[in-house]
Amino acid sequence: MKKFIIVLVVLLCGLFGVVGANTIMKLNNMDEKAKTTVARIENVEAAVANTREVQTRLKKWGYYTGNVDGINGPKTIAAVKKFQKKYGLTQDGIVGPLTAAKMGLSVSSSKSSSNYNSNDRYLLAKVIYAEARGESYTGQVAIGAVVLNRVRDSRFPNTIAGVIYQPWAFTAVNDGQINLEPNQKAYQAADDALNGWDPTYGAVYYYNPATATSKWIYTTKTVTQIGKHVFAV
Amino acid sequence: MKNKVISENIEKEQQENSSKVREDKQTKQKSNAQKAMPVMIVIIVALLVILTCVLIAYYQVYKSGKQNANILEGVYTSSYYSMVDNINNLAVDISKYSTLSTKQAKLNTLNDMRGDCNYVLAGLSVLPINEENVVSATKFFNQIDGLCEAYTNKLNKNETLTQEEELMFDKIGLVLGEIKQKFNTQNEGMYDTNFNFIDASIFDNTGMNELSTSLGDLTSASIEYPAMIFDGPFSTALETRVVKGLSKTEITKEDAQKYLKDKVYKNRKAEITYKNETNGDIATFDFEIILEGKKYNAQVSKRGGLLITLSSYAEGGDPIMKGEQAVEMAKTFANNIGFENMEAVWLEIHENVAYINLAPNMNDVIMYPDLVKVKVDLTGQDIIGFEAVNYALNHVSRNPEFNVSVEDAEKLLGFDYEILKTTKTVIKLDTGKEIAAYEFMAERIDGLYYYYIDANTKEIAKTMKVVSIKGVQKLI
Repeated sequence: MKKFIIVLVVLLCGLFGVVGANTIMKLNNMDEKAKTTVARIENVEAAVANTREVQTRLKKWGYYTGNVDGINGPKTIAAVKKFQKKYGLTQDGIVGPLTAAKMGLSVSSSKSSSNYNSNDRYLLAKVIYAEARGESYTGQVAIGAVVLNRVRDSRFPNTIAGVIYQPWAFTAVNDGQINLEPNQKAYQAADDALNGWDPTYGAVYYYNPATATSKWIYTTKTVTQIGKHVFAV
Repeated sequence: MKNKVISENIEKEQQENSSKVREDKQTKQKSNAQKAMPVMIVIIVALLVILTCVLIAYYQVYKSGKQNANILEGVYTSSYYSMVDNINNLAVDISKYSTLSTKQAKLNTLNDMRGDCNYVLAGLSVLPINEENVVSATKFFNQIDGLCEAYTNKLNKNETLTQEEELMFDKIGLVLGEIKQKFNTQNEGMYDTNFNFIDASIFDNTGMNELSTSLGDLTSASIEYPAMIFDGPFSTALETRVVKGLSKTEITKEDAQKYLKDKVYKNRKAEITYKNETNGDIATFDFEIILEGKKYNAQVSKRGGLLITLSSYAEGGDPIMKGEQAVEMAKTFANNIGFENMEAVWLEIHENVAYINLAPNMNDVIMYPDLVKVKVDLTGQDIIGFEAVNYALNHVSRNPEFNVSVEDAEKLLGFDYEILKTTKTVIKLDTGKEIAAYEFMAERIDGLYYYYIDANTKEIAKTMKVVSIKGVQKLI
């Protein structure tokens, strides 16, 4: 009887262990994908929210008669132009800094060498820490530079969040290491990259030759190797 | 006879004893079994409880995972259909464009096309498709967006699009037609197989590979992919950088090491070790430097032998120097290593590290395209970073013309501002073109702005607002 009980307990534990671990791994994987999507949606929502704010103000002042839907369509552009005409601004239908200032809205660009904000710094530090915390400081800056080079490259999404959370782009996003809290060194590396440091001179890919599985990555042109990572264009 | 009786008695006694022992044993076993029964019941009940809890927990995790998966599948599906719908919209808008004759109608359609492109790109960036196949599609739609932007700017400046430029949309229309066709075939397959993005991307890659290949085919030989050379942010013309700021004379790695020893670390005990070389747009010799126990990485250009990057990090601590002193240190350092007539144009202090931007001053004109960046540790009172890629790429002798007067340029700023400083500059536009511009640092009610007015066309070329970020102190 005792033997039967022991065997039963062992079997149950084994079964739960295998099924549970497998399921949790798959669900975690899905969770990461869900987070990826949320990050992208937040980004799109920010743009829509800005247009909504413009539409709300223009409607209140009688320039806009359409729906406040966050879509920068012909009616919104026409309303912006009317507003610009009234205030003697260039009538291009675009809410740039001058028009935004006249509307009492704030705009987000900066005199600094970069037009990035504190969220971008945080995201960049996270990806640097997750992907290269064991690398030299220059190796960490290089990872940040690759992300920023991608933002500027037409082949990739046009925002830092878009690049980092692009499905399958970074291993650290897939395996959840992106959620580790970055350290001070990673923040400094992010600052350097945002301020223009690029030890890779324009690389948009990097890989670890010891672990890379995609044959395609070897077709890229190598620029340099920093630590364990090969940087390529 | 007597002995026989004794022997029988002993045998009988033994039998009785044996029977008694057997009985005792049976009684004991029965009693033990009776005692063990409740323990067994407890164990079985406990096991059943554990099993039930495990099943409930498993069900809960499964349920929440299933819900997450359903939500995610919904996002993937809506992104996919939004992408396909907007590819169709783009194809329709492109067809419409060629039939339009008025400038306003063209501008509106170009604006719609940019919206279509951005929705396609948003959908594309969410889908779990292999990166290498997405890049060509992303580039294609980014470039259409850039092309529309360039055409919008032209029309807004009352310029006419050439016949070749107008015909570009016909070529794009043909490519879109092929993509549409592929997606329509793809859609039919998806309906038939009850396609699931999560299953396809995690558990079975076959379906996803087909979708991925449809996008990857954008660069295949079957589609004539137009080279979009235009004056816009994603122009193919901007992809190749040319190094204009470095001398054509090449140095050896020994020369580079000597430059680091004699110029960059003059009179300092730096241990300089050659590591490897970088063969990007700017070819460099790369070194590792140990200075007072701290590690630095430096890259010296093969052409001209100039320091292109130096990087290290601040250890932390209390600042022992001010921003202004850091600016002086940065200027002196730049001058000593071969960057002459540099002027500080920006200072940003963040967590006791000063980032200083230096630009060459040529005949009282600030050359922003040749920006050099220096990083000073205010706690260790030392240069811990240097970056001169822009200088290496752009630094040439220039003689810019300023045909518009500063007074006329200022009139473009409107009202309710106070000008704090006016500077003659050369700036680089997003398109890569350099222009002579007046820089007005102006204070408005909601903050500090920098306006750049084209000194020849009298247009606002660029506007920037100084944004304060938490924990960052920015001064000029």
